[in-house]
Amino acid sequence: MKANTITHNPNKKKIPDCKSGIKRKTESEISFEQQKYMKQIKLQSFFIMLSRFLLLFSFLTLWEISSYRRWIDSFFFSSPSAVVGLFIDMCKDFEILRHIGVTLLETLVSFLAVTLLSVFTAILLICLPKVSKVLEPFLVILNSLPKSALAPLIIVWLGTGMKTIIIAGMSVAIFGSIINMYTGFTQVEEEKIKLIYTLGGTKKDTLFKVIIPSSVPTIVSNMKVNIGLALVGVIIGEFLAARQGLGYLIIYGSQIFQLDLLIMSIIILCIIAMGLYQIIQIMEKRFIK
Amino acid sequence: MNSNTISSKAPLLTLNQLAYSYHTLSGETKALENITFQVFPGEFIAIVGPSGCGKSTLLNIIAGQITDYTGDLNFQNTPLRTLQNQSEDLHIGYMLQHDHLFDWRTIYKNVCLGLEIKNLMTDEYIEYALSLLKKYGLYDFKDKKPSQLSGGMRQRAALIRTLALKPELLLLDEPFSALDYQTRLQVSGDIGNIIRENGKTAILVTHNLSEAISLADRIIVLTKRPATIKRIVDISLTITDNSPLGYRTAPEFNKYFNEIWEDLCNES
Repeated sequence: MKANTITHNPNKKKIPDCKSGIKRKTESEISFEQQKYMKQIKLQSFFIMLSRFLLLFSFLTLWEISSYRRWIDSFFFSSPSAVVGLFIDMCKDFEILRHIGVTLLETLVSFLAVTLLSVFTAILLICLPKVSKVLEPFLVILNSLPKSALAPLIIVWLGTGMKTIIIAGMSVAIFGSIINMYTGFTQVEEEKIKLIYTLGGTKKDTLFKVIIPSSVPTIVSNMKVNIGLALVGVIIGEFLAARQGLGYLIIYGSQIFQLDLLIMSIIILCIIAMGLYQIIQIMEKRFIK
Repeated sequence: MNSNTISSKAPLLTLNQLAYSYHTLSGETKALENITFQVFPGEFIAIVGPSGCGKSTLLNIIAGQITDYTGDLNFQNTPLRTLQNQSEDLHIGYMLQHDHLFDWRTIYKNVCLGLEIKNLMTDEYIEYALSLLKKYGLYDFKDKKPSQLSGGMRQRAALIRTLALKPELLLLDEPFSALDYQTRLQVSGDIGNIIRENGKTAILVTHNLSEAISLADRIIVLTKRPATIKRIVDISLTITDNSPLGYRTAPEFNKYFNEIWEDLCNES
């Protein structure tokens, strides 16, 4: 990104500088070598996009043909056309949209809760260095625990329902997120904090003028991890204790041996995961230049 | 600045028998011992000494960052501790080795950082900050981000950030050491002129003798740790122009350089 702006800027600057008499030369101001270089870069990225598309397309085609020709058992492996057919079928009564909506809602709520809670906790920890020293080993243990192990416990405690699923989703991401945020906060340059004190600032100023603003990139990269983990937690929760959502559809599909349903749900999950990640990436580009 | 006008004024800063020790698990290290000197308004003092002798520590003490020293430290005839206990505004500016301009703020916002912290975002102070930006060629860059400025410009912006608070005393802790040689020569000249033009009192810590001689009225030479004052050298240069090179070509320059160099060599 940065390299791009550097290579573009000089040209942009030169154009308005040109006197009207040599306006026609504007185009050729970009040297032949530069044009060649830019063309090469464009060609390369086009080639990569094309290859990605072809890879996906040939995979789907091969899958379709092999199930049509009965090279594979379509009962177990389904087929793209069966998946699409089922999806259209389930769209008719908005059934599938309800499941997608539930999973999305649970994921987003647990993601937002994890992000806010971990930033808030990390701020508390950085303000109370002694407390954070005491808590450190506990956080590390909780974080290295396979979080899916907590889900059954949460279900027993809280019963079934959306609240449980959201908390299951949070339980997967929260400890790692707190540790990452706290580490990010502690890695702010010591001298920058000293600067605040030399300007007559207090601890509060170091927090709001330096630590938080300089940690925005950490917060965003942490969000990218959280959104993925929240989705994992929500699906685990839905496996165990839900009557709706994509996780429920996957378990239900496997129990009644309807693998079209199972594979469709997995594909939708892929698309959701990609979409959520993209949203955060777009936000990142907006806010961090 | 000649010494007659100086001694007629009351000192701005007085250090008397100042001493300081570090405490670590492996024991106590004496850093400073028996430091006694005075700084008068409008003076430019340079502190030189072997590396690691405690120059920066001394500056940190004067800035009020370290408070567990022994001995007396008076600022405008009041003990610094008393001023701090009454949480009065210390009119002491501190410039660090790196500019530490914040990338997420524009130059203008960076310059106003101190004003924001001290709740001084009044028209008067903002006007003053803007006038400094104008005077030192940064006004056109005020809405740019620090990464778009050269090293020299960044250092000037950092100085304006310090000056915006109108400090009585400026402390400079090797403020040019992160710059390349050419920029360093230019910026040290610029910053020396800015400080003199604004009639500020300054204490500069440096390990660069030429810089110290070309900028300072007096040079305090410290011994190796625990640092005591080895010698205080009054500098007066006959100069033709006040460019950084002008000072360095003054006839007395080499004499001072050799003298202080020998002092330092005997120390290490």
